[in-house]
Amino acid sequence: MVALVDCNNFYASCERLFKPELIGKPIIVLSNNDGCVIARSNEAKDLGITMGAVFYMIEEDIKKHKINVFSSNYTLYGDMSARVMTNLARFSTEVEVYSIDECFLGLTGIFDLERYAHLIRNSIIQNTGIPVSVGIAPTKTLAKLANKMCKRTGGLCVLDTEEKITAAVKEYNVEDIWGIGRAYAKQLILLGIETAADLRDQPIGFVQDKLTIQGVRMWNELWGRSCIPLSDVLERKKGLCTSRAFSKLTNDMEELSEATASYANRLSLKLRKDQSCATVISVRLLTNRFKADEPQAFPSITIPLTHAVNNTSEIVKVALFGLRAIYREGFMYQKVEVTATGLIPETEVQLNMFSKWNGPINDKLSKIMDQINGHYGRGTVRIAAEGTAQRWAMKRNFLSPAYTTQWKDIIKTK
Amino acid sequence: MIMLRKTTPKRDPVLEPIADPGQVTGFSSPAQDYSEDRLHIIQKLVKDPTNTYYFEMENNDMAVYGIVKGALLIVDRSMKPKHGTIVIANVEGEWITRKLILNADKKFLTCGIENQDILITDDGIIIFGSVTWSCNPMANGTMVKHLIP
Repeated sequence: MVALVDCNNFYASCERLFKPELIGKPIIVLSNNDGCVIARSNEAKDLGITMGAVFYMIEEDIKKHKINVFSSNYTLYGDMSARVMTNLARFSTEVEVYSIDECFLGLTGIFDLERYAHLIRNSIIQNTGIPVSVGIAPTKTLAKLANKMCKRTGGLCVLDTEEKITAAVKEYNVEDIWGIGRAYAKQLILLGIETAADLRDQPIGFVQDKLTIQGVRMWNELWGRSCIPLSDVLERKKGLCTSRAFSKLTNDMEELSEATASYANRLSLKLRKDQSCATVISVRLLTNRFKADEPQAFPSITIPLTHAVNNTSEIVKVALFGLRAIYREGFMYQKVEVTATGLIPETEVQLNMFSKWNGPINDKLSKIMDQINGHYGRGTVRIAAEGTAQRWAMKRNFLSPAYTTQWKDIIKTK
Repeated sequence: MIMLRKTTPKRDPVLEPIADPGQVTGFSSPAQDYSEDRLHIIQKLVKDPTNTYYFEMENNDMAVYGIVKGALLIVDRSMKPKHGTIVIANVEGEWITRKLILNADKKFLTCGIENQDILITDDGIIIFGSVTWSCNPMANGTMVKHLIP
């Protein structure tokens, strides 16, 4: 048996934990740059605030209903997520952290599943203050389904008999099945397949035809035959990307350079954390495609590197070279993306005998920068190309404190 | 079931310039076979770091119970509050530290002064967690550290 444990309205719950006066009050959390709604408390959902709603367009609703607004505080959410996952891992030796707020647990050999589910749920709520839902079923696909079902019924759902599973799939919409994309869902609904049960009752040939091998796995899983094992080993990432929209559109080369340098720096840090090196760096500029009346451009460049690297100086240098190569005047850019691909493990880097190689020194420099920034806080030591004013920097007007990661931000009590 | 967490913080190369002072080049140290990890306060104060949170006392309201202004409070959410536990609570948006009293007839939060007790009714009071330790400041910033240079 497999459990899927999912944190309820995770971002909103994190904010609420340190502001309990907001219990029962509507909360929304905005995307980076305070662009649109990415998380809502149940109260905000009930008020009709939609996922992805653009912030400035719902400002009136926010005022009218006194909705509490937060900028996304990923430092806090990341730490709270780690606390939840660590607590969950105490309940099983098979753990797959699936996303920031979801986790699969293998429950082989547990007899009283209902009781165990209660135990897991109560312990997470006691230890972290984050409410969770627990769905238990014979396969991952069904566990996911069970979890979604219990969001309404109050936090627990154990599908451990054929009857319970059959009843559950009957009232479950096909578009909500784990692994069914929007395009597939549309096709299926057109064919009259509306619930998970409808899909399950199709012959295997049909599924193979319409939904490929992934679909066959899912179909088997809906019948309670496990096809998607828990994976506790992370696959090495194939590529890493840092991108973020600017707080305002810009065509200023200086600002763009600073932003590119800053993202390239962050990218190199990600690479070092991942213990991999990039062999290819791509840079892309993007205008705002939602402003249809303005000229649009999405110039990009892909640059192969002579050496696989992950140190800050070289990746920034390459990214800035790329930016200069693609920059065109006459456009207002909204976003720059710096991507590293062709990743290889740090330990398998081969040197190129035909080029001058300054790697060891730059690697050392990056390591020292990481140490200093790790100790004194992110951004203490930066490279000059990132600039000091950072006018393009992210807008986070409603950011809550880093309650659990910064001493200056711990809560004062009376 | 849970093993005591063994925590030794990383060496600070400024304060501890040599990595292993027990390593000798001459006569081998007779203490080598008897070495144990040095005590560190966090081994005592933080049993379950995953579930530990920190708060700071803002005033002397809890001085009766030995918590003074500026005290660092260590809060372990995994410890269920009981009768007599010092807890962090939130009352209508305000964070307070109080002793939890669970009598059969009356449940309340107290700071030791009777007319300031806060009755626990069903709504409006949220208990965040149990304070397991309080670290009172003694010489905050007034003493000069003897470190050369």
